[in-house]
Amino acid sequence: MSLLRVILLDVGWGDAILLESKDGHGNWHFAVVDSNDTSRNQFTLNFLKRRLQTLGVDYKQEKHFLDFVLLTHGHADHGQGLKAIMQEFGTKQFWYSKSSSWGGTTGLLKFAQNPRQTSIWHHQAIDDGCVLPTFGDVSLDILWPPQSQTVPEPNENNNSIVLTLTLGDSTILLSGDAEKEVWYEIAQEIPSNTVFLKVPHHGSMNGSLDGQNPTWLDDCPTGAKLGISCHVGRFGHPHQNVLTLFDDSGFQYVRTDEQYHIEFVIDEENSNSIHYHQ
Amino acid sequence: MEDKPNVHINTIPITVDAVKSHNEYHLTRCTYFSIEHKNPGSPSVLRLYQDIMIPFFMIDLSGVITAPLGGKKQYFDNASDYDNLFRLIDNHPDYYVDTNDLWIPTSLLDNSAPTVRRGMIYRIDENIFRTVYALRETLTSDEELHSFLDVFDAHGVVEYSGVETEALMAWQNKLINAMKESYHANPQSKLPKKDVPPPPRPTTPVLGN
Repeated sequence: MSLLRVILLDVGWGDAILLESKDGHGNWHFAVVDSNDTSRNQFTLNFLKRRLQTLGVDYKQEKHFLDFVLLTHGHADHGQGLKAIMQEFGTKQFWYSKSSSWGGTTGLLKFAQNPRQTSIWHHQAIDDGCVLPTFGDVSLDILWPPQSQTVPEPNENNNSIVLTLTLGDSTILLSGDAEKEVWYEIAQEIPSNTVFLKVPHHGSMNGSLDGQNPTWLDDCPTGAKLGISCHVGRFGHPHQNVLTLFDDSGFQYVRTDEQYHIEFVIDEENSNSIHYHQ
Repeated sequence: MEDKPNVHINTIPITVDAVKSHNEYHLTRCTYFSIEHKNPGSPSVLRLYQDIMIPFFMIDLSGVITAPLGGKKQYFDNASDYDNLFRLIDNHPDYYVDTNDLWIPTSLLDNSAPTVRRGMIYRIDENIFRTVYALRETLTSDEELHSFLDVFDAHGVVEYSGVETEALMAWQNKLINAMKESYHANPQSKLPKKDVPPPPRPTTPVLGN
């Protein structure tokens, strides 16, 4: 039976998301969305290594082991560490946003374009006009950024790639750090069969609220579970107003700063489960 | 504006990634480039106390990059400096260039140039780097950080580097343009487009902060 597992890693701040897909033939596929690894603290890379050992998967047998690596946008807490991951595991696809402000993550563009690198088979910026290859039996789609956009957003968070993953009649939505301006454009396109949604921008006010008004929650199916990849303490992520909104609206949420890694699983028979440290 | 920094030996260039504010915390996330060693077994020699030489086989190395390759220039003043850094190190079998972040009090950056913005490059001295690096690695507390800031005015260098900011931007734009040219030159090698175009969106940026 096909299944999709999405793991939000507790990396302190930033995002690091591992994707695992088992297709109908029993073959496993793996992907990474964002990373906050530093050179001294390669948490995501080591987690994936250990995970593959546990699953009995020898990634060295394949030059481009990962199906894809996605950089949702150019902030360091999402992009650092991806180079080491791609060098270690190799990837068939490296996708990234149509940003014009890469700053310290410019090195990833250079790495991808290096004619002598052998870690990446194909790379490109993606938008909602692209047809993405399937991830096992999982269909991928992009809600943002738009194909029609010719000038990237000045707020780098609003260049975030918003990705949906659909297996059977269930969808998981990964939101990057997209803020309220993006949700004004795409909230109504949140699939009605969404069962898990990664809360945008670590649970910040800008990601989920415009003043007192929710920017995407009203369009999120009742019963969908929410995952928050949070900062620890300092910057108020997740914001209490956002948590109050979720509580008042009856949405179940889990947060990595309190519940450690969050694992969400869906299968082709439309059952789903969520696992976290109690 | 292409301000050249008043170059100080052993200053570290950092690039502004995101400016954050919340209650009493006003910290800016910055990035720096580092050289990393990836293949164990390189014979090396370490010198301690000026005259004690220790031969060893290197397993891991992580070094903060402070200047362009060659040792003759003290700051990056054009796109080629960045491009050569990445190209030559990444093409070496044993090393690669990586990006790491650290947090620095925004007040330190404010004093050097108005309106701290993403993409701006500053140079900071070793003392400041060590302090904020320790904060990043949770080796020091917020209280120790504030104590450091209290005595900062008497010591330390933080200086906006306009010429390096321009050089990094030029390098970035060169890479983006190369990517677009490659896309248009070989559209068949790219991901296919949807038969039915997505609904129309604004073609200019939506209002954002």
